Amino acid sequence: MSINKAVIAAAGRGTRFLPVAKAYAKELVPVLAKPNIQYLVEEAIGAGITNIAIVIRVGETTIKNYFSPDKNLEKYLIENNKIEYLDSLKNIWKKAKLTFIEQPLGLPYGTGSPVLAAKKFIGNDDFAYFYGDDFILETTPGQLLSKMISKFYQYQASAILAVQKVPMEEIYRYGSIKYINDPNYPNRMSEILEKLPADQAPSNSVNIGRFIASNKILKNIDINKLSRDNELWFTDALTKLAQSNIVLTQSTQDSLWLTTGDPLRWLKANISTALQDPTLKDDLSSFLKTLSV
Amino acid sequence: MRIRTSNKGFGDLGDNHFTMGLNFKVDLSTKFLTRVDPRGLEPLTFPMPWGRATNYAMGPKRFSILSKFLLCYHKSNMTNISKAVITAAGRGTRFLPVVKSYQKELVPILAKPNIQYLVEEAIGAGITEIAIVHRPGEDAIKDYFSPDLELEKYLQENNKMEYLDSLKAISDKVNFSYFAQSPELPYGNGSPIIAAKEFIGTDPFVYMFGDDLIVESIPGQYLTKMIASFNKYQIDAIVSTQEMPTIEMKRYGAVVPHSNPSIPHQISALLEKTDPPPSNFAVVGRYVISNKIMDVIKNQNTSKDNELWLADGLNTLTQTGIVADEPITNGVWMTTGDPLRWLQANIAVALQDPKFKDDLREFLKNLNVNK
Repeated sequence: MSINKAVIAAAGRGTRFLPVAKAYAKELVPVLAKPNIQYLVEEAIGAGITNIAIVIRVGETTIKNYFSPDKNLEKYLIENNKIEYLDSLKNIWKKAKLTFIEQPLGLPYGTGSPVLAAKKFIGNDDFAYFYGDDFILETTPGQLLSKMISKFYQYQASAILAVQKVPMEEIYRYGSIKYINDPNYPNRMSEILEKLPADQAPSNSVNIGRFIASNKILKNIDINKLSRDNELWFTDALTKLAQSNIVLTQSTQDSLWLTTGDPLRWLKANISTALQDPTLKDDLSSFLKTLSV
Repeated sequence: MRIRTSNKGFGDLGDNHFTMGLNFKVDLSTKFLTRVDPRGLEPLTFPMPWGRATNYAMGPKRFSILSKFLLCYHKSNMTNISKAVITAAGRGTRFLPVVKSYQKELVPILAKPNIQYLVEEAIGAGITEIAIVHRPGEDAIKDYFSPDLELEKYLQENNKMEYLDSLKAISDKVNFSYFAQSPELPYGNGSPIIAAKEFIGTDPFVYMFGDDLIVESIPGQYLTKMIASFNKYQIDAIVSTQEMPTIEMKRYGAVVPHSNPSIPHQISALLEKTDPPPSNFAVVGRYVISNKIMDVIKNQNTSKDNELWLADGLNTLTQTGIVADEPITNGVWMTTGDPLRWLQANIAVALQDPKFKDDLREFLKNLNVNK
């Protein structure tokens, strides 16, 4: 049993990356020399996923262009013996089929809508779901996702959520997980409570933007029940699903959760990624030592 | 007293003081004409063109002499430089694969494309006309600096219009021209000058390499200083340099200090990476160049790697005229040409940004790279 399909949400405006996001989708903002969304695609491929849908804004073309072959560039690189610069993209083309889905304008904002937009792509299958802003740094891309997929089948669960513990004073920014004690199902959750003050949050485990979900989740995304921000939240659907199904969490463990949603966190993600890269880490460390921080 | 001028304006400030376009202040009680620099640099002073008398009246005759003098001054290119050429015609291979989808000049430093920092630097130094020399068929930079009505509408509706403030400030202050560098021209950092020749016309200009970033607290402060030196000594070119430890000099071109300088920092040549280096002053991609370069570079042959090098043209000018360097003192030169240095530039810029610096400092401390 395996998961073949992944849906990546990439339909945001990226306002926090303006003005640069005026020129291209914020998913193409680089982490080192690759667009941040490429890491997500590679993570999915690392977990054995072969069919990837990227949900984009209506009229957005830059992500699709990026993932499409460019004959002129290839010709130039071959002539200049530099074709290895495209190796990572060629590897993606070899291993996965990418589909681009425009999110209909009629759908509300929020993390639930990209899944609805990809309904046809998902069909009757179980799938992995990625929030485009969340970035997982790990020695082998797809490590965390593979663990989630194994757990999904091992427990015949209806969904697995990746979670990480955060300091209680930051909990108000995230969805806090409420656990149920169930001897047969470790880390079983009953609810995700979004953006609560620390004294009301049920735990300091928060969901991050990686999910494995059974096809049943589609019926639980209720377009008529928006959250208090007037957004359609995927986490509300998970809470609903958990009422009569097994929904479990998987902690990030050795995988480091970062986000690329705003310039400061994105910069930190770049630094962390470079410090794991054998070709860059020594030089970067020397540079950081020269800074008087 | 009734004084009128043709187009630049002449204002009576009272108390024997007058302003005259081009930032000139005339004090009738002294024998000097002063150019007041709006950016607070050292004012330039000139003897009055009619000798050493003081406490004269500004009659029509003197006014006419002064006007002619200022016109000459303007024509001799001592006045503000208004044009800058930015090179952005490279492939950016070291940024592949990401630059498969956009030009490397649009790779961000925080939330702005790196080329925007160059534009802001030029504006900070009083530049009002910018030419960007790009690869044929690329219009991403032009699109970026052009209005996007659909986006503006969205931002207005969501009260987020301030995200475009920096771009609006740019479009208020400069005019852009775009030149596709013909594939007929050789590779090399001299060719963009030829590509922009119609823009440059007969004027001196600032020349900026897209990969080089000057990180400074006030954008354009350093470039202003370069322009001021260029004006003050009326020379053929000013080359930007940064002092470097000897051990690093093998990576950079360097200037050769003139053995018998007629002005401070005069140089006799620019050399490619040599060991040992002729000086510890590495050449940085900022220049202020007189129009004489046009004839030189048009007739110049390609050299190393079959490319057309600006350094060759400047070396000709060191022989026929005067070229000096201007070391960067209040700022740091960084490059954005490869991912490692680009990341370092991002860190340096963020550490200067009041919004980010404390948080980033904390993050860097916790990385424990010092151990």
